[in-house]
Amino acid sequence: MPARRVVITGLGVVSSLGLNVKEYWQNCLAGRSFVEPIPAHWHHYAEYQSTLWIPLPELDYKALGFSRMEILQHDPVSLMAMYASQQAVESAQLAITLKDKRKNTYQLEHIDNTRCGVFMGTGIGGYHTLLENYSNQVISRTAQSFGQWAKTLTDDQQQQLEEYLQKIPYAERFNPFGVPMTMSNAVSASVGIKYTLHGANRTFTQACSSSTLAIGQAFKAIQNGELDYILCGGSEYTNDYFGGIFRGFDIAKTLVRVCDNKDTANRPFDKHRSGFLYSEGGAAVLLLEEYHAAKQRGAPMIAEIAGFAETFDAHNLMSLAPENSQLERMLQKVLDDAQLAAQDIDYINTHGTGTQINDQQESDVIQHLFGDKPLINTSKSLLGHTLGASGALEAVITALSIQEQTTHVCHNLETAIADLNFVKTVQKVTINNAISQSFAFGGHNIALLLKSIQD
Amino acid sequence: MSEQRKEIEQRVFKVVKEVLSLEEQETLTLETTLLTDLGADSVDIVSLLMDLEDEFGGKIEENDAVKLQTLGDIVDYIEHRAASEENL
Repeated sequence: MPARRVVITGLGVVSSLGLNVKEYWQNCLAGRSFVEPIPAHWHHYAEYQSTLWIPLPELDYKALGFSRMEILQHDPVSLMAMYASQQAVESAQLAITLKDKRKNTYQLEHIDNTRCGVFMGTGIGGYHTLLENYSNQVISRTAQSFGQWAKTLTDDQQQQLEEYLQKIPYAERFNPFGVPMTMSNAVSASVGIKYTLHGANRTFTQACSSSTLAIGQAFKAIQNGELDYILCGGSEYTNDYFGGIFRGFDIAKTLVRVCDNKDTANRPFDKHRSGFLYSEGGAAVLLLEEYHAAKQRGAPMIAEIAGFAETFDAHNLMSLAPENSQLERMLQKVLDDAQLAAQDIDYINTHGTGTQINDQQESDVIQHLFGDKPLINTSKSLLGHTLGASGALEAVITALSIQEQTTHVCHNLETAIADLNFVKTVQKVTINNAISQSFAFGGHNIALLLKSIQD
Repeated sequence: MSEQRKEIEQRVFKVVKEVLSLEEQETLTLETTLLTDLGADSVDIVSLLMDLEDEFGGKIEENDAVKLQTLGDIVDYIEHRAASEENL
């Protein structure tokens, strides 16, 4: 029996480039990138080599339809996944009905919800909540003691102490929902609860390839008949009040170091690149379903997923293995999985972080296997690095590039480090087969192969 | 009823309606019970107490929280705390 075909019928995004797919895609094609200085108060706590990031737009979850209860009980990483899922369900034109008004949950109409799953990726899950609660745990009583002691001091001393205390704010409460808000699997669980989906519900935590893996596993689960519909993708929220998550990447020397000009600092694949641009995060969700079922219900079909591959470097927790053998093996495996050859590939949405090592090795591998034929870009040149959400945000761009037969430029690329077919202008192109790939701390290499819809 | 008590009552009812996703026109009284009349479960009540803390400031201690059975209990509690010049 031939393998079942898997199509993408719905998309949703929460990103620095927009809170819906239309705005996201328009901003990508316009080459926009909203880079800003890191929050001023982060400088109270440390010296940094990198001083830029890409913040998310302010999200008014109440205005987006979330109940007060949902907002109180979820970390932003889960709320963003839920909102991106809502968009994916709506754009896939699946009918839903309200199941429980108080819980603000829904159920799908005309679909067996035991055949519907949720596969989500996240690198750090609800770390934000963990750190908030920890600020309460560590600081609150000590700060209150200082406040009492201050009463015994002179006015000048009190004022000085007050200034110090203002620099160590803490969450007013240790949130009673802290455990479920922090746990990584809340990301997929929250989406499964929101839409009453009883099929397999999985969260993948594999650093920057987390959501690529989630999509790949979802593709396989539909292809092999385990499930019929899957909301898949990922979410990441990397903000904390003190900037400690940012500092972890900064001190590891992974972030953009030349920060004089915020508009040109982020320049993957350029000779003058200096690291990756930290993003506050985001989320992207794809609805995958079996091709014939999608066709029968008249679903909008954006692209087909035809291949998935993963390899592991077994080399180092932070660096790519220098000989590239596992990246090449991954790419050969994904071509084999889709029964295509290297010359069939029209476009590669690269991992393209902007670090010295990644971009050099990735471009070497592409040149070796594909030559200069496929179009090459990196969505991180616009979005910065959204860590565990990046693979899903890039898969959305890859799918839209196939559907729209155009793609965005490789932003800020002036002196390319390799003779590849980097996208320099937005124009109509032929993209039938495309690869989106992600590499992760740990040594994980993941690739997806997407195709245009063919009968 | 004092103006202050009336204001506390209105704010409590507003928080209860929002947290428990009640219709705006739903009639609440001081005798309305959280468990029986409003069908709140333990998770709902924890959320409600968090939002009341946010609305009125301060912290509702566990020993006090278990005594809050009706909306009137909540209003009394907050009014008492206000009279003793504590937050909440």
